[in-house]
Amino acid sequence: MKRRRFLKRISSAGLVLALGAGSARRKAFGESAAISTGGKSRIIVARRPGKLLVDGKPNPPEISDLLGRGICALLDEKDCGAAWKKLFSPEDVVGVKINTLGGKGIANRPETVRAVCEALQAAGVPPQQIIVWDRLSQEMQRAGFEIVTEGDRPRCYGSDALGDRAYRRQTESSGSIGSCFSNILSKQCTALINMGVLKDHDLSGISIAMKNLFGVIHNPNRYHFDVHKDPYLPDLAMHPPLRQKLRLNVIDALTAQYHNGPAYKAEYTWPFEGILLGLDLVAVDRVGWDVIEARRKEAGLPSLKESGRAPEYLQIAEEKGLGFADSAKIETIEVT
Amino acid sequence: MNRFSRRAFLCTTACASLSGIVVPNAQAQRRVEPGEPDEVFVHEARHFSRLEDTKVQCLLCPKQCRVADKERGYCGVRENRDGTYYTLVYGRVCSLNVDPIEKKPLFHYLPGTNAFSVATAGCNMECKFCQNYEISQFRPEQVAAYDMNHTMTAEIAKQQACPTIAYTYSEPVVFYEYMYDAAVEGRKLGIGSVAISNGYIQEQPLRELCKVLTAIKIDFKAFTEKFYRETCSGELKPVLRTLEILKEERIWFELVVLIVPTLNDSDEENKQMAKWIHDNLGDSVPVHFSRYHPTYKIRDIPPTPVATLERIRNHALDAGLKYVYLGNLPGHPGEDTCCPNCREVLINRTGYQINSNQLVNGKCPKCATAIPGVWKDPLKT
Repeated sequence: MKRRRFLKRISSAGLVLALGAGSARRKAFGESAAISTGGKSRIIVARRPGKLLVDGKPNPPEISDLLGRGICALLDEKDCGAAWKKLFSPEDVVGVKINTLGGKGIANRPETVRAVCEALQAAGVPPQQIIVWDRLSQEMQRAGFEIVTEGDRPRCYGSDALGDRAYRRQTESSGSIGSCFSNILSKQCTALINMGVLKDHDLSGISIAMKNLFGVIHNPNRYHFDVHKDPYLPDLAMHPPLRQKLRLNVIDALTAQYHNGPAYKAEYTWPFEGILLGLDLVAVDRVGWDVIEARRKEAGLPSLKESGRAPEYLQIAEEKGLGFADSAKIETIEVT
Repeated sequence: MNRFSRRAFLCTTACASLSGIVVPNAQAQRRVEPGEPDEVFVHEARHFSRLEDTKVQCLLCPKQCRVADKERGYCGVRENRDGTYYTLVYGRVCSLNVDPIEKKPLFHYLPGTNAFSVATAGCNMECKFCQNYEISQFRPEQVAAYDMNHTMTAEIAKQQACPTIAYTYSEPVVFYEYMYDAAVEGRKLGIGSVAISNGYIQEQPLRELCKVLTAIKIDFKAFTEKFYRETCSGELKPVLRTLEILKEERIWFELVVLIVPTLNDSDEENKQMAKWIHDNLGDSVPVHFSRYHPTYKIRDIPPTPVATLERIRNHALDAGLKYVYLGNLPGHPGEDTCCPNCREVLINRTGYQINSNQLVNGKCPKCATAIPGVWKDPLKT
């Protein structure tokens, strides 16, 4: 397909679809991370060791089933469809922001992303109104994703596929952040699922939910210095258009990495065979951090704090009212 | 109103510029759109060290980014791939034009000649008043570009009858390897090279660069660490060291200071700066005080009043600096070069245009005072 035709198609589709999207769910959930009794943030740690991966390969039926149980537990629903409908409507254009920097070794699995897309469709979101995306189409392909721009399937492409319209023209400020935001987020989507992975990060300490959002701006390299203790990540997540659209965090932790990230280093990965779900991305990071720390301890590695890169930004995020970093304010539910 | 965005304008300008240039090699006309990956531009970087666990440390600029595998440095144009650091912008030219050398500005370097001017995306600072932020503050894959390697660059400059290649618009330090190699190629063809830089570079690469360039213009942002840190995401001290090295290396250089009201326009700061220049670099370094206009992240401060610039210029003259100019004020007498001895107007300018040049062999025709500068092409015998 000619590049110009492709660009025209995906940009016009996004604009048309973005019109008329409802805001009721945003009001219900987008501004409030805490849904448990007692004002705690509920985080689901859904795991099926030995079942989500079979001979190292994802097992789609088990993934879909566990995802369904997880979303029901998160939202106190018995029916999966009802749970997803609490968050997303057929009018929404849902962006699924994945993390593919690490290639096939430590990125979202297409099977996990497919399970999310199928759940959205089962809840009434048309496939053409689902956009699976990351920064670069090439990175997505390297991680095993097929670029899709037409037909009756969910769309799948990087911000860069929009060419010189990949990012908004003007910088937008949010605290210490000043960046151009991806037009997939700004213009095409009405709702966002933040679908990170569970891994160690050399600079931020961890890359789980909050760090995944660096992929929505054009200049994350500007904010990498001391990002584990600076307010950059909380400030980015506080950006109103982003905050209003973010409905759900789903962390693909079939494989996790506890050291030497963000690139894939096989010797530091392990089959966690889990999915983390939460509405509060700060709490998701907190729970995921604990998982990584536990594994580091088992491996005889120093803690992230001892390594000088504990994710102190989580505390800053809590102080800004973005969510909870304090474990005492988090209700962790294990689902199997 | 159908507004023409700045980025579209820059891209169109680049297109127009290139289309007006007869390119000797068809490959140079290959346009690379934003989002199109291209390994042609990926070259191993020259100044970095390997660390543990496939990490690297960049040794090109004072930020000395420590970069994990698959990550990029602050500049956004250098990437660690499996423990080796690469530049992603070797010959990935996003802006090119034939400019008067006065536009750089270099007033004491081959006045009235043209410079073939090139840039890639990226910068190692983030000045909130950056006039070219749509290329300097973006990653290479986010900006349209042309494939124009170092050899083509020198050839096109020669074809355009430009005695100079200027590495400008964004920050040439971040495209160091391409700049260095193009400068070497240019020398082979008798074409000089000038860098228009913020001077935020480490000593070793700077000294190596001085061997192949013919002049440098440094954007001297301010004379306080506070301004460098808060407004530019940089540091003053390394830039001062750069200026000292330029003097030691005996390369021709000029300074530009963009005066931003309330941020770096105090009398005290500018007196201190002028004294430092005088005491450490000498009284003959041309200094251009330039007018700021609102842009990028500083849009709420009005343009610099002319009176402020004139006052600061007077402080510099009072400090003993002999060649102090005003920039972005077309038609102002502060654009002219005057003899420091007899005050004769030697070069009369309006904007980038030379109206008259009275210099005779680099001397004042009236009192024979030698005016420092590069008045004859340094690569022509």
